[in-house]
Amino acid sequence: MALLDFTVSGSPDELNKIADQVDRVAEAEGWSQQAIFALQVSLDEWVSNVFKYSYDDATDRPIRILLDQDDRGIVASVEDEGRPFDLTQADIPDTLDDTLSRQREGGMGLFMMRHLLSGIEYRQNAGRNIVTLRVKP
Amino acid sequence: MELHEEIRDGVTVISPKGNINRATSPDLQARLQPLVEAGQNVVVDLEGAATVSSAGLRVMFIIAKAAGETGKFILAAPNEMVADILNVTGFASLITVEEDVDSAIALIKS
Repeated sequence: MALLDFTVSGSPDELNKIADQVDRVAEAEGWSQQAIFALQVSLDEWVSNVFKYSYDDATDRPIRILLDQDDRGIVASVEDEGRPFDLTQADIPDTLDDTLSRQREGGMGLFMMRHLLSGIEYRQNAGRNIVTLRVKP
Repeated sequence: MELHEEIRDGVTVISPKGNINRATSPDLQARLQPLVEAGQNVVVDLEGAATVSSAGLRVMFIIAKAAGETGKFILAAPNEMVADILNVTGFASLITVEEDVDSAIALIKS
C-alpha cells in the first residue's frame, strides 16, 4: 500500500492540501530536507501544469497523488485524465533569459524539476496521464 | 504560508514562513507590491521559507523589477536548497541576495 494516496480537484487551492499531506508523510518517514524540498517544489510545478494545460483551468477534474518508497528512493506519481503531455520530451529552456524573454510560464518549472529530481517518467494508461517523479531520500 | 512584517532601521522586513508556491505566492505579491510601489526599501527574509517554487521566483522577479526605479529590494537568508534554486535558475544574478537580514539592511543603508 502506498504511503499516501489521495485525489484533489483541479483547483489551485488544493495545492496547499498536497503540500500539507507531503509534509506529514515526510516527517513520519524521516526524509531529508533536500528530498522534501525536491518533492514539494516538483509537485507544485507539475500539478500546476496539469491544472493549467491538461485541464484548461477547469476546477472540477480529478488529480490523484501517490507517494511511496522503494529500494531506489521516494516515488511520487501524479495521475490526471486531461490532455496528454509528455514532459520528458518537452523543450525546456537552457537559460533564464530564454524563459523570461519568451514568457514561457511552464518552462522554468520543468527546468527546476529536472534539476531537483533523480528521475522523471511519463506514460499513458487507459486514458490517464501518469507522471512518476523520483527523489533520493 | 504565513507572512510576518517588521520595520528595522527604517527598512520593511517581510518574513514568509512555509512554502512559497503557486497557491501562496499571490499573497506574497499582494503584500510586497504596494510597499515597493510606494518607494519603500524592502528585505524578504527567507529563513522561514521551506520551499520556493517557480511561481514564487516569478513574484520575486516582478517585485524586483517594480522596485528597480523607486527603492531597494533584497532577498536574505535563503536556506541551502532555495539558494541553489536561485543560482541554477539565474535569479541570483538578477536579484540581490544577502546571507542574512543584517547585511541586507546594511547594504540598503550604504
